[in-house]
Amino acid sequence: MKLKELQENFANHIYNKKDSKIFPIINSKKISVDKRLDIYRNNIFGSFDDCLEMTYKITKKIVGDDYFSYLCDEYKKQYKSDSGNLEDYGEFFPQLIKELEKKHKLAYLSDIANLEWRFNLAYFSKDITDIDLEKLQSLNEEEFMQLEFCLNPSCHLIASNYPIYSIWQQNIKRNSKEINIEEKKGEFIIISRPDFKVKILQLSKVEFDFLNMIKNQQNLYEIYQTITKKEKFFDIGSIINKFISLRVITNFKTKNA
Amino acid sequence: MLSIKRPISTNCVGIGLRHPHHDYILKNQPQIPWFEVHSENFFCDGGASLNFIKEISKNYPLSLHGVGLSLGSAQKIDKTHLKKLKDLVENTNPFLVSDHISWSNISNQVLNDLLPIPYTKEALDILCDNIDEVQNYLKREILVENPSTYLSFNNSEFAEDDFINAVANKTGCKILLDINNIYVSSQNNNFDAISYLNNINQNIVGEMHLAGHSKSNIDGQIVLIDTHDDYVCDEVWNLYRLSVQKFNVPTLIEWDQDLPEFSELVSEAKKAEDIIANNVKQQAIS
Repeated sequence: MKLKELQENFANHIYNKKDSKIFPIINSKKISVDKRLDIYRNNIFGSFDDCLEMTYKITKKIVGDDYFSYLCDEYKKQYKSDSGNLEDYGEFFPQLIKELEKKHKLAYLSDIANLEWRFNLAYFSKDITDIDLEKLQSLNEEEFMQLEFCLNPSCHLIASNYPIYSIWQQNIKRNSKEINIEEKKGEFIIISRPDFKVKILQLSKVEFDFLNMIKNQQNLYEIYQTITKKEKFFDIGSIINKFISLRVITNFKTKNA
Repeated sequence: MLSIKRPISTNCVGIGLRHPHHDYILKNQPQIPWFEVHSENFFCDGGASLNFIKEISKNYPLSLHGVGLSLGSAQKIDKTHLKKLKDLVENTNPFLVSDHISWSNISNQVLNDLLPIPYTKEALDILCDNIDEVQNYLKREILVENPSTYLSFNNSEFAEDDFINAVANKTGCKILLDINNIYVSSQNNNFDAISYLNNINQNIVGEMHLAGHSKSNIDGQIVLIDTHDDYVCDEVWNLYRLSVQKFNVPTLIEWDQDLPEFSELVSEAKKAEDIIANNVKQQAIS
């Protein structure tokens, strides 16, 4: 048996115990082949479980050990690893939950899992340098309105139909009060890493739209025009200052740059 | 580029550095000859982890030990993975870079474990080609570790020790000789660990590992599992006593799961240092 075929047969058996094409080539002295292969299967799937558990701590806390274990089993069946780095495993867990939870009451769970995955991405994202305030202040009004701000590369914006910020807060704090999800509206959040610690901030709808348009590379004039159609008293200076000081806005591009 | 920090002596004992001990190390800066980390834990663009390892590499000689290159795979080396390793090497200037004689990638899927390869001529050629590719890309020598195995293949044409000698001879890479893995595999696959040790060429070993394992009862047979979650056992210490007589290289204490206090790892390292010192003394007397 060629190495490629051997490794394919090995992999096929790991995912489907009934596939026994690898068996004749393995020594079965004292211990059966399937029991020997079980050791590798347990190691591989155990690593996947550990990885999902590390990334999706709040999801696990919400659903409990048994249901989380069921979710992990479903994930392992449907999504194979494609990276030698286990940190990359689990990207589609929120998607799986969304499909499984369509008919169930935990419809918000997928958004919480999405938050956790993006929290993980933010933790490992590129470091930033501070915005060049001197250069920013030197722009004339026309140049200023034509500029495109850049968000911190760790930033992830999430708009949810559920109160995900409140649910997150409730679950990371001990002894926090129960929240009634039915009574609460959807929430907007930004996940960002201003230094080495990842932070989650709740945003107003206007703040979310403002940052989302920056993310979509719209210039300040376009953003201002769009927002003031709905919000007559939009204070663009305050919002820019707020997100520069939070290190959410970390750079800018001028038209001539 | 900064120069590579190396341990003061060739046969000193380092410690595997894992996340729960990061803060302790930064705060206390203990006198440890060198540290080894899992490369993949630092495959990131920025953040606390990358900052940590850059700090460590400024203060301690560092070894990068990978688990994901899949050197024994019949499919080509994952270029993205290799690029990330190269970036990390450039960021940290390690004195050693290593991975395993094992595979995990096939048909664009990854079974994230150190899976066994058959010791055939074909597997030897494939493994050596992959090691050559990595060494050429990184522009440096790497080390490859003998695996812990729970099965053997009927089509093997080499004994594991002969296979390992051949890998080093063909590629010029060094061998990371894991003494615990020799013991675990010898018990699981019924070969003589001392003969294995005697048969490994002296000049090809560049590092040794010591670790703990666990025992599992399968089909009424005791199987040793390479869990890295316990103290080094007496049998492995005995093999290590023989190893230090032959190999004058750095040794690492590895502990990955159910981590004890850092001081426990230092105690294990001290035991290894005492064995090395005793061997030096014996050799001086004789």
